[in-house]
Amino acid sequence: MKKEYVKCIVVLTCICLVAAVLLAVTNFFTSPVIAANKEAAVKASLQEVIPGGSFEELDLPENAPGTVKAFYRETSGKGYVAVLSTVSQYSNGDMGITAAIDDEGAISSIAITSYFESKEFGRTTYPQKYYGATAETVDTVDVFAGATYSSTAFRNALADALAVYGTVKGGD
Amino acid sequence: MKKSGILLKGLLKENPVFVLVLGTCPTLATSTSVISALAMGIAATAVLICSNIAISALRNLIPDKVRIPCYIVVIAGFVTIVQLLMEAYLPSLYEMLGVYLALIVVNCIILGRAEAYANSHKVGEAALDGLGMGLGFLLALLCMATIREVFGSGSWAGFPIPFLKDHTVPILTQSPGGFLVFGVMIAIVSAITKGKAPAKKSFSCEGCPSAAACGKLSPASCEMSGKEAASHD
Repeated sequence: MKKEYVKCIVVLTCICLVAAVLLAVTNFFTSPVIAANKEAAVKASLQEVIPGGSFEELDLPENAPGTVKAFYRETSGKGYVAVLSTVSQYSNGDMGITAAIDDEGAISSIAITSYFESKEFGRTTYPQKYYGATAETVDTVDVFAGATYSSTAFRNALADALAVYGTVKGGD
Repeated sequence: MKKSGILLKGLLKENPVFVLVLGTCPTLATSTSVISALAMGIAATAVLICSNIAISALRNLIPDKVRIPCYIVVIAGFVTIVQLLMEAYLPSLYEMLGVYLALIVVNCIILGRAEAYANSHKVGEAALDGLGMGLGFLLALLCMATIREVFGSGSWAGFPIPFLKDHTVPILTQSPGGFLVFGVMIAIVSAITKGKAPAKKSFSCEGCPSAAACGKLSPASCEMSGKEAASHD
């Protein structure tokens, strides 16, 4: 009986180890490509939110929330762009958002760079509800039910972007 | 069984989707467009072939008590490899499939074939079974996706079809339309096979992964349970 249990443990452990090695090898080769793809998607999203713009990356403030991954200024004065990443309870990956903020401090455009939920429904219309929202009004935007974690995560990420905008503008 | 028989049985007679009614969730979810159906079919086929080969090769080493955890580790490993490769080299398809790519791990077709076939057959036969079942899954997805995209969106693989693009039936691209097409396809396949396919041993009560637990492992008791079920219908 004891021998049988030992065999079960050894076999399962060995299979796990082999699987881990195979995954590590695959990850070694694919992770640089995946990182490059993500960077290209972010670059493309900058042009999506402010077409024809040229961007300068700004240093993030020390107290910047973790959701704000990068902050850009459009060099001809068309506004600012925040690159955001937030977690979403129901998906297998982070939600990537790129939000443009105009000189009045209001959200002017949003592009979603990664999203693994039911993307066919509301992917275009849902972000548009936040257009025109400022740091003061972003919490009052009427979302669908406000009951899902992803709605809250989405709103909180935009609030973080507006907070960083406030700090950057205050420092200008 | 002849090698060609092992390969071809998954296409119609034992089609995993329309006859065994396995993998319904990804079938309904990814058959809204031909491209996503093709991507899901190819990904699932790759995982099915690899997991069948690995499980068949390890069948004499894996103790019976831990066989299901072992199968899950093997399948999850292959699914993650496919996922990483798609994320790196086919990012648009990766995003299109979304969460359904990761859900291949719990696709009943893969675990079902591991338990019902790969763990009791040679590596070559298990690989052929994986290929046949994978192609059957792919064929089913393509049939469903063609009907739903052509009549629901008026296009095929993204290419607009004259006349149909202006006369679409949008419900076909939604969940109710998916169930409707699925039901019709099952009825058609049942008519072609004359309803005889489900009586086969490999996917009857005896072939069920839970057969040992439910105490109806012997053919006689399985037959009995089938009659009992029929009498309750």
